[in-house]
Amino acid sequence: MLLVSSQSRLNMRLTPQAGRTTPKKRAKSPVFNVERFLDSAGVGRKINKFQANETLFTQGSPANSVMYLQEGGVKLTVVNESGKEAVVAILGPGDFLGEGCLAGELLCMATAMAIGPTTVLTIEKDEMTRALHGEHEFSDRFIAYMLARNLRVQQDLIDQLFNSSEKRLARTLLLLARYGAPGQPEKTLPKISQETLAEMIGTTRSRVNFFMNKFRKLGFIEYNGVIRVNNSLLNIVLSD
Amino acid sequence: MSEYADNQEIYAQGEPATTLFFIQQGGVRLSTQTKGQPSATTGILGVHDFFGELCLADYPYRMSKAVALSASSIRIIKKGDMLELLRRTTRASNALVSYLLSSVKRYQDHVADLLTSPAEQRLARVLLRLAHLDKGGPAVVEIPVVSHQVLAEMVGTTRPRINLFMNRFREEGYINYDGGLEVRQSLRKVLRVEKKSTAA
Repeated sequence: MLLVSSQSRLNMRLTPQAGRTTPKKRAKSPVFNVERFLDSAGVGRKINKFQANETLFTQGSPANSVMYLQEGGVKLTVVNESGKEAVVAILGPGDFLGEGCLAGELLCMATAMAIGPTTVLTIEKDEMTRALHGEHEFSDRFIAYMLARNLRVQQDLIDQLFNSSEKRLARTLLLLARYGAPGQPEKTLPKISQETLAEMIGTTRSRVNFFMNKFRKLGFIEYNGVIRVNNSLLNIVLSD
Repeated sequence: MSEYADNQEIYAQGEPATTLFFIQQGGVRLSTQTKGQPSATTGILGVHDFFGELCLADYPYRMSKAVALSASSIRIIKKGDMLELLRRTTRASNALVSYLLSSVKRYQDHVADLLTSPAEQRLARVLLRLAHLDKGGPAVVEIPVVSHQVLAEMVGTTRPRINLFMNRFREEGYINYDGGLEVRQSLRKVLRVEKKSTAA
């Protein structure tokens, strides 16, 4: 089974030229800087802060901006026609959300809620479209992100179709701990309830509790206040 | 541009990935197999969809298998050419971005569906999606026949259960087999019936 964090490929460039260190002078000035664009407020972009459990946007509300997660974490939930709720994604720093509006969606298709103190850059749809069209570096980065995200949701689907709830829980914990992300991997989890974990993997809270205790006894995870994930948890995911 | 016959393999999982594909006509089924598991159908693609696009993100191997669903014309684009095209024209990058956005949404919807709906409704939604009837459209659409096994893989249930539901749908007149598979708008009733019974 594959573990693909949307972070893991984010820093790669789409073209070999773009990877060179000498910045090419473009005819356009000032020089566009992707990091600066995503780190700071400006025309059509503002920084918003949210507390844990605060709602960023709700399913069915008008969709007119894209958010870039700078800090913290967000869970996306969807309610179906018969009122059942499911968590479809947990996003972390470096992820985009609300990007559906770029595809012409008029309403938000999910509810986004902060799972801890969270900082996002809200980019108005028009500004986002302008940057995607006008700034190659930015569109490269966004396409790379979307490719990785696409693979991740595909793996989520396979996971859901085939794996036992124990394996799904192990994979979800590893993804939340950003296993496979570049640099120093964060081994501690954002604060997340067993209820939410149960909604993500499609099982009951008591089953999650049972597996979490099992993982702890086996030394795969530790918790006192925060949950720490050890690499040995991979054994569960990789076992047959 | 390449022509593929019905059921012809376009690439296998694990092959080196140096090209991506754009469907001009026909359809393609993507499936993925992981060690010790049955294969999972992760997508049924149609006209104007891309596939094999992960090579752009430097994944060296194919992550899934692609098979033509019917006679298909498919444009093969070299990775380098596509990167060049993405740099030069906004139209190419727009097309790719909008495909990726809709693909992410489709996967996410599918997962949400697995987590929240019973198998019969999931099957109805898969059929409506294949016929592009999920957002309205004509009363009847004919789609290439998809085997019950493939439907079972997509819905996340067993082949006998699919067989049962398909027969029920046919008796109700929601679908019809006649060479191809006809899907009618009325299949949407399956989604609504459930809603009423939960409300009651």
